[in-house]
Amino acid sequence: MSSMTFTQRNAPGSPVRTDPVEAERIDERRTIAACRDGDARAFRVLVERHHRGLYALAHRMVGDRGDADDLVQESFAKAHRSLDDYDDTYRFSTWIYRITLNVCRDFLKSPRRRERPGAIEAALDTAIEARGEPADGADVELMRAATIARVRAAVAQLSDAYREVIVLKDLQDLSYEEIHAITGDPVTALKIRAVRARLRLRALLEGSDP
Amino acid sequence: MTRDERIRSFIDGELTERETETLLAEAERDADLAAALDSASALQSSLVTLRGDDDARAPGDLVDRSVRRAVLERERDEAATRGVARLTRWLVRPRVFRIRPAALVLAVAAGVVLAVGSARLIARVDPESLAGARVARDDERGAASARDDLAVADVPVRFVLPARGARSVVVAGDFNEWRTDATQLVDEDGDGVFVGTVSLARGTYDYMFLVDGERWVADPYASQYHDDGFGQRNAVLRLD
Repeated sequence: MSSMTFTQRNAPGSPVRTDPVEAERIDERRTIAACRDGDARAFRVLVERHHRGLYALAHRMVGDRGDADDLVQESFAKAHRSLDDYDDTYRFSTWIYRITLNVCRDFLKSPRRRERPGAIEAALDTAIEARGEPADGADVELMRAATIARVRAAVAQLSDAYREVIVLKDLQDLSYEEIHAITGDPVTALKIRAVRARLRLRALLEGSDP
Repeated sequence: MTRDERIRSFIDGELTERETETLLAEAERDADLAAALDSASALQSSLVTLRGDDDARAPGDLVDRSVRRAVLERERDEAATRGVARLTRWLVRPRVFRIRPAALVLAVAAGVVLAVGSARLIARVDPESLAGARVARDDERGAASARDDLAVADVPVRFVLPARGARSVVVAGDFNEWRTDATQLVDEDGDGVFVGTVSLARGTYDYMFLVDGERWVADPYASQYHDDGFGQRNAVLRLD
């Protein structure tokens, strides 16, 4: 059994027989068990492991650093409170991604989001400033920054459903199967949505309405 | 497979080497296909650049703040649960009350004074202060009327799918961005016919039904269809 292989101490000189994926799962389960017992250090390990991906997801969904920061904290707090509901036959990353995505969805629909629609406008302003093509010989970094501002503004203009699939597939670089595990949407529906969302994004970037 | 779906498969790396070669050979003969491929590849390249966006990089102290907040919130929840348990125990604990007749008379008198005082206070509330509520209600009526006007501009569309034995039927299409959780049809009388009405703006929409969360079905009553690129046909709805 692979779990035995992992927990056994190998005798000096004997071949190490560990399946890295299985070892990681076992380590994850132990960490979560410690969290459930109230071990804050174990919870810190989980936060360290996932905060970068979740912050990028939240920032790309809501378009504001302050909001993204708050939403990631809220997601981890929710996860910590409901660890007893977590089914460890699934990856922890899938579960915490689902929590964060739902927190972002709720935020985008909430009055606190509608009171502060500045993020999208700010992105658009930056894009308008950066709209002119950089002159020949302009710094490569400047061109990169201009591209980022332009694409970020276009992504911000997408509807929530289209932005979500672009963020998860093209920016977070997840597979359709992983997105299905997070959202519960059928893979075929996700692929159809990706086709439509990319067409819409292209039209926004090219300045035409499909 | 439609052109858009082939381009998506190409971009997502799902085509075999042979399929990729065929697509690229076709693009050499078909300028429109070549332009669409170029445009899709350029978009993908921009999105890859956006992945390196510094703004999407987590602040250095986010771990500390997340852990602190999570631990504090959990402690607060646990303290609240303990507090409720203590309060419940205190409330259900049997007690013996001894009341002297004089104290009872005083308590009743105090109760009467309080009740009369409150009634006078309520009667003295400035009628102007209630005007805000009326104005707010008028505003709400205005908003409702605006919504009604919008609803008049939209067209109510009734989707019907006979699907005996199905547990769930949803309609997904361009009008709800192909979300499979947005528009559920219901079989209210249990005769196997699922029905739902949606108000849609005028335009043209592709759509399909998703049965039991896994089976895509084209609308058998649609007047027009086209290939959906996934081996089936999308129904096309035109609202002129």
